[in-house]
Amino acid sequence: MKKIVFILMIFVLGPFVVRGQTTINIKTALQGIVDNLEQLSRRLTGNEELKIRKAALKNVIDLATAESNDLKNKLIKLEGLEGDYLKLRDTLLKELGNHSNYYDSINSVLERETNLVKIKNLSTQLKDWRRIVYHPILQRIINFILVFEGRDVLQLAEIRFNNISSDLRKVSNLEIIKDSPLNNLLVKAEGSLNKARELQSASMLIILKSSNNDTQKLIEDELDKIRETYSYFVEMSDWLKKASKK
Amino acid sequence: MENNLFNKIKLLKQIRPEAGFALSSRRIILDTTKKSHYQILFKKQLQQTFILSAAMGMAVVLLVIVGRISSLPLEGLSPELISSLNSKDLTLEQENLNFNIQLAEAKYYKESTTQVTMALNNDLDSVAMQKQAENINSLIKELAL
Amino acid sequence: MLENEAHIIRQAQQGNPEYFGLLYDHYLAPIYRFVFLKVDTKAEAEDLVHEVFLSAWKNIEDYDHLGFPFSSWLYQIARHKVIDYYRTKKNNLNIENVNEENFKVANAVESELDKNLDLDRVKDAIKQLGEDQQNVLIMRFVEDLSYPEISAVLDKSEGAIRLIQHRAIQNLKQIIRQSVETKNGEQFI
Repeated sequence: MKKIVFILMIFVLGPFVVRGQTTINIKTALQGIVDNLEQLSRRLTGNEELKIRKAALKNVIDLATAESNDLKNKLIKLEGLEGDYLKLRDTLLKELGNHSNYYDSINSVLERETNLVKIKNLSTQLKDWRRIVYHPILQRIINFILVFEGRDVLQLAEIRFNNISSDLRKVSNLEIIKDSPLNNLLVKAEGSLNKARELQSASMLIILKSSNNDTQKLIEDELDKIRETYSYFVEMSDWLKKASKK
Repeated sequence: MENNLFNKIKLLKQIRPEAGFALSSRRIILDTTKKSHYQILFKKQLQQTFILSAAMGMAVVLLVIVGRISSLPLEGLSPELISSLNSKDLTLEQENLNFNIQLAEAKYYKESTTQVTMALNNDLDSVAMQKQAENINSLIKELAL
Repeated sequence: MLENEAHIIRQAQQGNPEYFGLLYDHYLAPIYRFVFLKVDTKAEAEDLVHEVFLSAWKNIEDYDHLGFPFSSWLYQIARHKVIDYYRTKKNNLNIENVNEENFKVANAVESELDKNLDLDRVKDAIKQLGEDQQNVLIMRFVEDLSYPEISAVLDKSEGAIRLIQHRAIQNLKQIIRQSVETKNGEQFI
């Protein structure tokens, strides 16, 4: 019986445990790097420095692996991808896989290397790799995820807008509704939503081309417009509440 | 005869549920949390809601005909007709939209790549290393994952 | 099928009711027709349809879009709800076992049948068919589902579906004939 409960717990709690574990791994690795930096800032013997630099490199690779897993999960979770976007997502996943291979190769050198100079060279190599290979791909992945998460947020706002429009249409003949600010607010909400839609479309085009930083700005602006849309909805809701109490 | 029969059968596609039923049923279903025991009571509530909506709707129509709509208080309206502006639903939806979490995650990754890459610099003196350690510590505190 | 349906379903499975609302809006009419044509009253159809969607919402995590289309899953739920409904009902004329060879149709009767082919008569006749024949008839001719889609709902081969369709049409004609002849006071056999 206990075995069955245990197995059931793994299946039920599993996904949450995995997500939580990724966060723990990232935090642990970052804390490890902080500790290593603090140690390295003190006066050390050659052996001590070797040990700490090796540990620091290991923590950087652990962090990169945890971050890769997190991004991989986010990419896989994205739904409704088609055509070029699906291909791009698969390409990005493949890149993360390649990174994983690179980390493995660094790790295997790290494990057997006992020369401080060579460890420092390895550190430089990893730093350059991150700057030249990792950063650009990471930016592209972040932008890709942001654009599609933004799409989901937009879709929800559109559903809400359609429901509100439909409900208002049903009562549109009532004088009290005709004289109310509701229709005006709805028009404003539609304006904000249209702008959000434009920004979403623009960002969808850009992510296919490059890791342009403007994508993040577009998404931020889009989310601002969606926030604005909801503020109009809330204003409509507040008016309705007040009017019904009179 | 067979063709005529098929044509008649196809006409059955005109059958549609009533709008009032659709509205009430939809609202009740979507309000149901998946773990509720609502199903035991749904029929009673559906009937009561439907009758209440119909009665209120009829009251509104009659008043419009008589021309007294300008003085009609809003509580005369059926709540189901403007359910999409339910403030509790709107607030919940806003909270669940995760605007800030997504942007914070993007910010984390941007910061993390920069700070961690700098930490790999062999030429950092002890002051610079302390500074890097502080920067990464701030990152841990802001971690929104 | 709804555009972007897989995404909408996934969102609904994550507990977002607005997305289930989209599925509800899209499938309400066909599911309602399916149930309405099998039960006696509008009120009963409404009750059952409400139960179908409530059940679908509560159990949406059980749906796996890799197995069969979402519409098929809804039709399956609807089918089971109607079967439960039938279990409590007394009047359920099942003519699946009727031997068609006993009934020959004369041309004169055929033309008479054509004139009497109003919608109510057709609806009543469909209700008198057996469960499988009703299902195939409604899904194929009212809802325009393909054979593979119907096959997924009923868990039968496409060949079996075609055969059931053929028998359904023949039996439907026979029921309508009988109702016309009873109305006109004629005995057919």
